[in-house]
Amino acid sequence: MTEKRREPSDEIKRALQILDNRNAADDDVEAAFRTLARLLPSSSPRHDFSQRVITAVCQASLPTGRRRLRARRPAIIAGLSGAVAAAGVWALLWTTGFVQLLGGRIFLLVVQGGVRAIHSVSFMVGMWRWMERAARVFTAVLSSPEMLSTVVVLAVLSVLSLAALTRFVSSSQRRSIGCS
Amino acid sequence: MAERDADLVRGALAGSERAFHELIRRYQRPVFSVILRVVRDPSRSEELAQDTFVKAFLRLETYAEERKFSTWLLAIAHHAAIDEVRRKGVRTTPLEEVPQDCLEQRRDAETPYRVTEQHELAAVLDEAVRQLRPDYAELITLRYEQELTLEDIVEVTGLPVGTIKSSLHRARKDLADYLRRRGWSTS
Repeated sequence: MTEKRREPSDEIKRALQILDNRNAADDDVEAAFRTLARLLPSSSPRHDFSQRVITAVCQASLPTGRRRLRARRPAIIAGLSGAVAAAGVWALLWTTGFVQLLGGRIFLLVVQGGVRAIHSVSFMVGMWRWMERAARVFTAVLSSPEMLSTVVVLAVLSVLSLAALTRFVSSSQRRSIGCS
Repeated sequence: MAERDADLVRGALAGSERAFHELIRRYQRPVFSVILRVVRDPSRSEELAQDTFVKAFLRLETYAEERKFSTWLLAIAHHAAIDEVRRKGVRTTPLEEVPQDCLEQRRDAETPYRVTEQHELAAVLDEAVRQLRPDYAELITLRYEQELTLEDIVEVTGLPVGTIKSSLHRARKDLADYLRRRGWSTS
């Protein structure tokens, strides 16, 4: 059943005329439908939709390696809240006496460390002096004429004994070859 | 300057709630509209739109920046809607059953007479679209309400361009016939 004819506005009238014209060009038909589609009620989900999606995303099990969504607070607020938290912890530790105790312990450790460092330095200096004396005595002994003549005699004796040994070994080898 | 979708996707991948919230704000209407045109049940459409965004978030690393984010997201919405129709069939909701906060009339008319006239035509058009087959109604929404190109519709639906053109042609003819039957004709 066809209802009574309406009197639409000019733009819509043009669009409807194009739809009525069976020979209308494709571009005109497209434009006419775009005009009419603008009249269609725009549908949107309820106002809290995005928050519900965020909640659902936070509850979903993520693939490995993916980061969870997190709200990033402004840097100033984060810095201020960090400073307030640190001051609170400090005040709590101060009132319980923990800070004083910890401070005393740290001071004691610093003093002990310093004393040990001084001790180790003085020990090293003593060691160095002892080694220097030992080196002096050694060079004095080695550079005396008696010591030098002893060293020369010992060297000559060593050369002679080596020569005798070499001769003895070679004659015994010759003898063993002749037997076989 | 508005942030690009690709930057928001990178932000969401890095865990920024603000970035993902902005993506939802930008695309909640097109996603919901497309699903509602196919499924025709507002509360179920809202659940499916929510699932679409959750799936999109879980698969966000598969999104390639050279593609349009809108078509990538609408493709997920399209599959969610089509799966729902295959499972449960289509429920036809009379216009008066659709919650009023889901339907927002466009207010660009100047006179009370035009407002009334355009409301009437809008209601008849909405009826006409809901009389269409779900796949035709979806194509009409994508092409004329969301103003997607044919290439974008191919990407969203996965249908060949020839099928889309012929389906749109038939859908337009059905809509024009319905309007004519309801008295919205110039001849």
